[in-house]
Amino acid sequence: MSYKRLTNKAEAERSIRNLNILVAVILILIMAVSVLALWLTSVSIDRKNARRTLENIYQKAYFDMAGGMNDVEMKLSKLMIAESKAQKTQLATDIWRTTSTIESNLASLPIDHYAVNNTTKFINQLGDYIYSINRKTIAGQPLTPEEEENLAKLYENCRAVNEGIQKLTQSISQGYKITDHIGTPTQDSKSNVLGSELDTINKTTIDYPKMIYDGPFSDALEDKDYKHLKELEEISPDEGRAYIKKCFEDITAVNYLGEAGGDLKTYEYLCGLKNGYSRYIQLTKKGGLPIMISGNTESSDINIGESESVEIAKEWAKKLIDAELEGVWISASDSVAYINLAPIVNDIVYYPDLIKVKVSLDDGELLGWEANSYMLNHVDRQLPEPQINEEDARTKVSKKIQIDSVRLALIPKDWGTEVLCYEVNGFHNESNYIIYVNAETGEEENILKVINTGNQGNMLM
Amino acid sequence: MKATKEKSKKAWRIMRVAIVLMVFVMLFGATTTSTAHAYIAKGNSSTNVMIVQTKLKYWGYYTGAIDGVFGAKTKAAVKNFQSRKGLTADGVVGSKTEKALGVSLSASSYPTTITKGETKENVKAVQNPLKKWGYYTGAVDGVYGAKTRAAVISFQVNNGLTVDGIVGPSVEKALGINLSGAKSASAGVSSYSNNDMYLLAKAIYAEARGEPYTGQVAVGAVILNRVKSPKFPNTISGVIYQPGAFTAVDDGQINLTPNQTAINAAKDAMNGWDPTNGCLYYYNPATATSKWIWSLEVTLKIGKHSFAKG
Repeated sequence: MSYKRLTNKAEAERSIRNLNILVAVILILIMAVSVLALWLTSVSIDRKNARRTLENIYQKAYFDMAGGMNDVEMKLSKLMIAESKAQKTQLATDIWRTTSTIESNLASLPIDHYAVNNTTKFINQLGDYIYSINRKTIAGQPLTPEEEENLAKLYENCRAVNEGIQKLTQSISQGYKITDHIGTPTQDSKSNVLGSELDTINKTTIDYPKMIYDGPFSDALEDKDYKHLKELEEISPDEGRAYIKKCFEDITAVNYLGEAGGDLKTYEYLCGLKNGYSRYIQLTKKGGLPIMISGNTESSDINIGESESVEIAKEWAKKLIDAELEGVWISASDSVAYINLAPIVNDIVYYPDLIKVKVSLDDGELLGWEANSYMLNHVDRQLPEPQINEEDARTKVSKKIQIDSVRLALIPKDWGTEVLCYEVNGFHNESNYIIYVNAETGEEENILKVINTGNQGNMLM
Repeated sequence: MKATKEKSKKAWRIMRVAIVLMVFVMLFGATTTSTAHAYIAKGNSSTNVMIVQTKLKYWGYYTGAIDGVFGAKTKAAVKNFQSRKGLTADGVVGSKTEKALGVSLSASSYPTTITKGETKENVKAVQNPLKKWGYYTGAVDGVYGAKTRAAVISFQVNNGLTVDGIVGPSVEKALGINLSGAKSASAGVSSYSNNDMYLLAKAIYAEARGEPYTGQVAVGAVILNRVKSPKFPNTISGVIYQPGAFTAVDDGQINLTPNQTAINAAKDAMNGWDPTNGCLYYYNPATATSKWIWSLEVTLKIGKHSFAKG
């Protein structure tokens, strides 16, 4: 009896304990579920908010783009009949500014980049072309018949593009959500109205001839003409290999990787060095000259001075392409120096023929070589006689500049032409500026500011 | 009851094993970090070591040569210094020891030697007085080598200047010399800022960190070629963040921190290195899904990437 009572008591105790545990478990579960529910709601609110914000950003980008297009079409039509210099300049500046807004907004829409590449090119060239003829307007020169014709063609294209975009705007305005169609194929007109319409404009609407003019987006830059290589004979990959072995004593293996196409045919080699590193070397098929050498170092030690590295760079120019070049700029960061070399003949610096050499400040090794500009531009030139002298050049720069030195230099323009200038090096407020004064017209061609970024070396802007 | 006791015992045993393991891992982890090469938290560059050695020698803790090598003698000197100053005597120059030493070490290497420019004339102008006063024993050759740097450091320590091995305005003044500013210059240097350089390095790291070095430079060059092309946005950020243009931007890998190789590759690309010679596109033939990209003529292959002009 007593034993059974005892068991009963124990059983009762146990069941009470079980009940307690059950209650605790249920309470914990309820708490967990409610916390989860709260969390999920906040996540979904967050998601909805983020999505709405994103949609708003896309809508703004679209309408800024479409509004800009409308504006440009109108101002372009006005520009074609404007007569006064003030009006022309005002309109041209507005168009140029607006095309840049159109371009950046078009690029931020979530559609494939190749669905807008022609449109982007058109917008960029339109702005660039207007900017270039505006320079003529400011200088008081009238437009040539060819330029008038180009302008008319650009206007026709502008109208056609704008027509397509305004049609698209109607669909977008009727509650079309751009974020609903992210991830659907751009070209699918049923699922992605924005993408497919822009793709159509991109593919079918734009049609205008090549534009050759003075601007960085000129089509003239597409066809590269390597003047320095023109007369040279083609070499074989094996001759290239022999040349590499001759120039670099510390190369252990030369692997020929193949021929690269494009504007310039090059042979590609990967070379192993004694120290375990490798160099990627490109030789031009014509002439077998090194156009690019690429290599890296992991060292951070500095054992040689910057001036010594310039001498090393000059020696390599002598060894690789038998050219007497001078150091014109150096920027060193970590244990690497980038040295710009250029020919200096009769005290004139030839900047279009720049070669960039990368030298290790740890052991003085040649890490890299970049001679694209040299291969493109280096020829015997007939330079024009300067129409102004050095003293005139000094008076052409701002009085604020304390002039340090002046010399003659041939400089390249963005669009492939060259201009003979006086290079005026001076200071203002402890900042170093380099000003290029056209030696024929006396106009300021360019102003560069030397930026001392300490750790990153010296860059020019 | 017995079963639960047994269970809790078992749980305890597992816990104990776990704790022992954790302690072991922690200890092991600690020993590995201290036996690794981090003698100086900010990096064992020879200049950092030289600065520490010079300062310790000045105060009599160190008797060896100022050679920029962190050997046993240097370590013993650091430990001795630390225990005198009431710091943890672990022989590692961390931020506290650095502060107690009164030096300013650099986490990166020391690219700058003379703030106003390391011309031969400037270096000679620095070497001359250092030699006269016995800090420098080498030749006055206009080359800023290890000996010159050691002399500058030693001069800074003795004159109570910031010890960094760089000839800045204060050293110039203390040496009683007047150096001339940088003179050489050129056109045609890239006009991109440092922020752009870092963004480019991030894009290279996200897109091509597994590629050979030149392949990484090539990816950076394609991005810069796009900036120059009328078919694409006209800024580096515009090109990189164009929707759908780069998969590593779309999936968030762009936010990873780039390594030194990617940064070096970005610098090369910014300085004009373009292994692709003007290409605007690249893709990995093994993973590319876009039909459109296959229609382009490939001009060059580097590593896993095919490059095309478009």
